[in-house]
Order: sequence, then structure tokens, then C-alpha cells
Amino acid sequence: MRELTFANGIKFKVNGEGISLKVDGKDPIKEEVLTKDKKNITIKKK
Amino acid sequence: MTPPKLDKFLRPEGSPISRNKGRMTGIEFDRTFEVQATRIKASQASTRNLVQISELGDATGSFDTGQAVALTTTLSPANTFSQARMLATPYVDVYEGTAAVGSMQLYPVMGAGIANGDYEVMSGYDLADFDEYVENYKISVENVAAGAVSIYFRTRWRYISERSGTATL
Repeated sequence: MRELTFANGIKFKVNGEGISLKVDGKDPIKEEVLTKDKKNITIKKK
Repeated sequence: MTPPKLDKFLRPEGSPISRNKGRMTGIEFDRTFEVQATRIKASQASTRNLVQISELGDATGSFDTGQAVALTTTLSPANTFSQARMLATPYVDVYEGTAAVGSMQLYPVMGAGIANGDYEVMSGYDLADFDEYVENYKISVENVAAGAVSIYFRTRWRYISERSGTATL
């Protein structure tokens, strides 16, 4: 899990590396990793 | 001058190539035979796991009237098939609050607890972010008149990959 902080003080908590957010069209000013994401599904070759 | 007589393969009669019955030119082969594949070997992994499903991703935070939050969900191939194209369908939903409560859903359907005119939502595939190997989908929520509220996004992908491997939400 990540916490994204935006210029106007808005914070979002995000699960998933492939998710990005913008507030009022602007990228976060700070990104902090809180916990490691559960993100992958792996299909093993047989 | 009289043109030479031709055999059935349009070669001059009596010429060395016409006398050499044991060999065949490429044109003769194509005239004589039709090449067909008797079997196709498909990867078991590709056929058995043709349609795959990503993990659920989510995001939650707060915003106020007049502010807009845009979420981009991206499905990326991992190293095992990084040069393979995918065909993927994104699933997204958005709720007022911090959890998926049906009455507070505001996209793609509006729950009973959401007042008309509180939000403006847009979503779609953005050509500006088109990528050969990565799938992107965007959803944008503008807080028109809801006041200071929490908002909760969820997203998940269903996808077909060219071969087995790992995709990352």
C-alpha cells in the first residue's frame, strides 16, 4: 500500500502498482510506501 | 524462326531439364502438390489459461467540492512476456465513503444514497496514453456539490495474454 500526498493536502491510500492518481490534474508531491502490495498473479508453465 | 516444342511443364522438349525426370522445380512442385499441415501444436498453458484475472486494486482518500480526482489503472506485462501484446478489459467502480457499499456507489451505477448532481464522472480509454504492450483505463470524478467526502475506487482486469506469464496491476 502506498500513500500519495497532493499539493493541497489531499491524501490517497493506494493498493496496486498499476494505479496512479491525479488531483485537479496534478501528480502527487509525495509518495510513501506503507506496506508491500499484493499484486501479482503468476501462471506457471506446465 | 519456329518456336521450340514445349513439354507439359512448358520446358523445351529434349532439353536437359526436361529429360531429368527425377528432379522437380519449385514451380512443378507447386503445380503437383498441395501442402497441408496435419497438426498444430498449441501451448497448453496458452489454451488452458487463455483468460486471466488480475488482483483487485483500490484507492481511497478525501476531496472537497470543486476538486477532481483522476484515476488511471494500468495493466503491465511482467518480464516473462514483456514483448507480448495483451487484450484486456478493465472493471472499475467508485463509491462515496471508504468501502464498497451498494447504496453509496456513484459509478458505473448510482446508488440510492447519492444525490443527483453531486458528482460528474468520466471514463474511457485514452488514446494519448496508447501503448503497444500496456493497457490503460482512466476514470475521473469531479466533486460538484458533495462537500468534503471520502471516495473509494476499485479496479480489476480480465485479460488475454499471448502466452503464459505475469501481469501486474
